[in-house]
Amino acid sequence: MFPALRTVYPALASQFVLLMLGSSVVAAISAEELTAITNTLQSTTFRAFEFYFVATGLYLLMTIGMRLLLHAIYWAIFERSRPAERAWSR
Amino acid sequence: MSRDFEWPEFLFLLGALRWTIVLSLIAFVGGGVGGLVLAIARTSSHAILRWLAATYIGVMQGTPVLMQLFLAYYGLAVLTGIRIDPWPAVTLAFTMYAAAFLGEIWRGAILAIPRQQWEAAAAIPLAPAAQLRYVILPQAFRIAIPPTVGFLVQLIKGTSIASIIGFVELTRAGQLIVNVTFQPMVVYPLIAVLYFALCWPISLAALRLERRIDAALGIKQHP
Repeated sequence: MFPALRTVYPALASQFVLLMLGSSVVAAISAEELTAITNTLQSTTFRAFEFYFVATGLYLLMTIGMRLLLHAIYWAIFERSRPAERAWSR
Repeated sequence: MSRDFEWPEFLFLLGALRWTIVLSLIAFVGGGVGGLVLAIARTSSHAILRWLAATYIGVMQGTPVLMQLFLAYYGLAVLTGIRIDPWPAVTLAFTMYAAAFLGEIWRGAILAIPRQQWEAAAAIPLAPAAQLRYVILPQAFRIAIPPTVGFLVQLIKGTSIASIIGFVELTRAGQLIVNVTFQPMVVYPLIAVLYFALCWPISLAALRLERRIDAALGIKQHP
């Protein structure tokens, strides 16, 4: 099923994750997302390192969650119904 | 009364472009050394080395550069107890970031070399280090050129993020000029053009390098 899609899927999945991580930059034009809120919090508490450390951990969790989800989608589309094809491709 | 955008302002931008180049170079060279170590560790036969490299790459690729930048900036400040210059923070953060991505790119290039090449090198016989040095890496080098240059271009453009913590490179200089001239629609397009003028020749040079290596190896050119 969709051999071309199957080939680009891993690269595309990485790109989605990088896009999510790149979204932190919109804080620079003061869109209110995780990074911008962290900036506000650290500037009111002066606990910069702690807040950024926690925010980084949250991004890492989001990345891991996204990777798991994308893996699950890959499995559901390309591998679940095709055990024979999988055995052949190895 | 605000200033107009004239020659002194343009020269200020050009001067700041130099720091973008210096930062990119340090990050690329430092990241290249770290990346090579990571790529070799990631493909080694020691499970601990593989795991360490994979964890490092996973964390660095799983968090935004902006956060790494903030952590380096405030982390160094916490460690040294004083508010530090942005320079060491941005170079440290971008070097570690580049090392993770280059490590993963080059691991892919090493894995792309057929296993028979390792076996053939072992049969000569070469020691494992010599197999890597004389047989695998030269071949992996050709495969690694396009993604490496692609990443270098991303890195150069990515250094614009350093402006957020007050490091005066091209983007930050542009913000300063916008603040005094109130002409963002002149300054920002010009900055975009400057980034393009920096990155495009690199892409072209890489294409030429690929063609030369292909010609030397007798590989047919792609249309």
